[in-house]
Amino acid sequence: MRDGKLVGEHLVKETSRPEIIELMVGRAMDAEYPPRSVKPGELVLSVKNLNRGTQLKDISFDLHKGEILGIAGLVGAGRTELAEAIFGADPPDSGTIEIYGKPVSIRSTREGKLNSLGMVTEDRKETGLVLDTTLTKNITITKLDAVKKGVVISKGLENKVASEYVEKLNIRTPSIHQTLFNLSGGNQQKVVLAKWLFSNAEIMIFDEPTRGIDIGAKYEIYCLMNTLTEQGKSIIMISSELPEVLSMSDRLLVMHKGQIKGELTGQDMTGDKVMELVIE
Amino acid sequence: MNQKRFIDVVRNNGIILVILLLIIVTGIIERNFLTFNNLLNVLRQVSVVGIVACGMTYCIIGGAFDLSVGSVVSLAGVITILNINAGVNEYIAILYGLLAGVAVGVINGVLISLIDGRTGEAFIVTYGMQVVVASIALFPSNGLFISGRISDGFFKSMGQGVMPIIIFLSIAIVMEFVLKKAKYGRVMTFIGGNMDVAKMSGINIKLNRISYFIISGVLAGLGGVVLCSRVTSSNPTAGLNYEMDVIAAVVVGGTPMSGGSGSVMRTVMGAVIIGIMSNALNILGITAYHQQIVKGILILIAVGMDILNKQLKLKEMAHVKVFA
Repeated sequence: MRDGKLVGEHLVKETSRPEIIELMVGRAMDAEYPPRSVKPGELVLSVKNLNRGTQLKDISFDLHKGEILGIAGLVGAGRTELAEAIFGADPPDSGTIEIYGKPVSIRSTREGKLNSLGMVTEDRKETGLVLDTTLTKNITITKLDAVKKGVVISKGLENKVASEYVEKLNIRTPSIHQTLFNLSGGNQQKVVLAKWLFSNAEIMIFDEPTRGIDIGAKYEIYCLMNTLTEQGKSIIMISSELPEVLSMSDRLLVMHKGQIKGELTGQDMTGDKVMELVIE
Repeated sequence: MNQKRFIDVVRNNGIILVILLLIIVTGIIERNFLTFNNLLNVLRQVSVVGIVACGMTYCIIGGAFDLSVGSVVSLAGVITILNINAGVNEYIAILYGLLAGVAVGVINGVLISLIDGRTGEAFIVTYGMQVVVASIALFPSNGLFISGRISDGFFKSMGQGVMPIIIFLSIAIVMEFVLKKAKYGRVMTFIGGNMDVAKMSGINIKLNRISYFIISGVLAGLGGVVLCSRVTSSNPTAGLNYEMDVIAAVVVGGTPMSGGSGSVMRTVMGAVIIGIMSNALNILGITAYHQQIVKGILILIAVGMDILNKQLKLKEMAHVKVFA
């Protein structure tokens, strides 16, 4: 089905994935994942010996400018816990974090945000967006100071910001005053992205960025991720979808039971190697 | 389209229509009701509850309740009058009363933030504080009612004439402005709307929430000070069951109990409606006990409309689906 109409009916063995995708989206898709051409640069984030209770054990890794660092693993491996530890939502018990070479202490999400971190959460409906308020308000919440005129929040400035991001990210909505409840998953996710772009996050953590999003919109999100890294931002991408994390990552960390089991690059980034690392 | 707009107007502003209707009907039944003096009286009578209700509005919009306000009203009154009787400078005495409210607010806020409490925990913690503070209010005067030896001055003027009304309305106007126009207010609606989203958007949840309880506490203290100025005495149980009237004003005003949105001016209107209702019932000769029943029905209607409003909104939203 597409747009409320039945667009095709096939026997499974007589059709193919590309044909199904074409029927779903309305046009042929050359590839499900856009090509990446960014060469990672200097070190932006360095995590050393992060520990938190039984959830995170001695985690160490680096992130470079313009890089997409994937984190794969089974559900419960501790990936979201790691993200929350770095972002400040659930600070670690011990370990160090360095951003651009400087040690930082992040004990709250506010400090995380001030240190140029941003987090696109796993469940945008529960923890990413306030669904019953407008698109505009959901974007500006991360840096209200930037839309103030004196002591007062300026509706004009807010609307300008929202319109900019609607255009930049191609958010399909009848208006910037639309309640997010009515937007599709892909467009909702773009609003979450917009709010972190607005706060000038340089290091963005994406936790299951395309969950609950249809194939056409997924591609758009991948393209956006590429664009962001071209602009110098760095991304940590947590994903349970192996094809996605294998195609989009420059490097891949594999986590299991709170530990990093290994790192894969280049030719080694395959589903088999990931599984090898997971199954001790 | 015009029909839809009209229904929206009624839904959102029905409360003003209710007030007007009430005034007109009561005025017809009893002409004395519509005198300037009487209406001013009504406003004065709701001022104390109104001041406290402004603070409660912030708490509710921010996703919590403060059940300790009644006890703070009592405590602040006791502290202020005792200090004045002991010869302390009246401004300092008032300050002590307000500080009592701040202290209770800090304790409420810190406890609730520490346990990362939601609405339920807020209920329990502030209820516990209500009991504790009520007992504390009994100590200084051994539970006795104390007459105030008040000389002319600022404190005396607080409870007389139009002063309570001015205090009430100025506070409401400032708080409404902050709520609707300032960063602080926007953050409040997010914290009350979805605390997890607020946290994950880089907002300092703890500090903000503590401030809501402090504001509620200090306004309860102010209410207590104005009250004991009006009655020129201290009653250690002055605020008994006050929280019910205060919450009623917020509910009738139309601020949703689920938090995330609301208006202080609406709470003002809610307090006024309840005041007019009480006044009208008095004039019509209806006894206090029956008045409680009427008050209860009014609250039920307000809550019912809140729920209905919400369901209608959900239904509307479900019909307007935007395709990718």
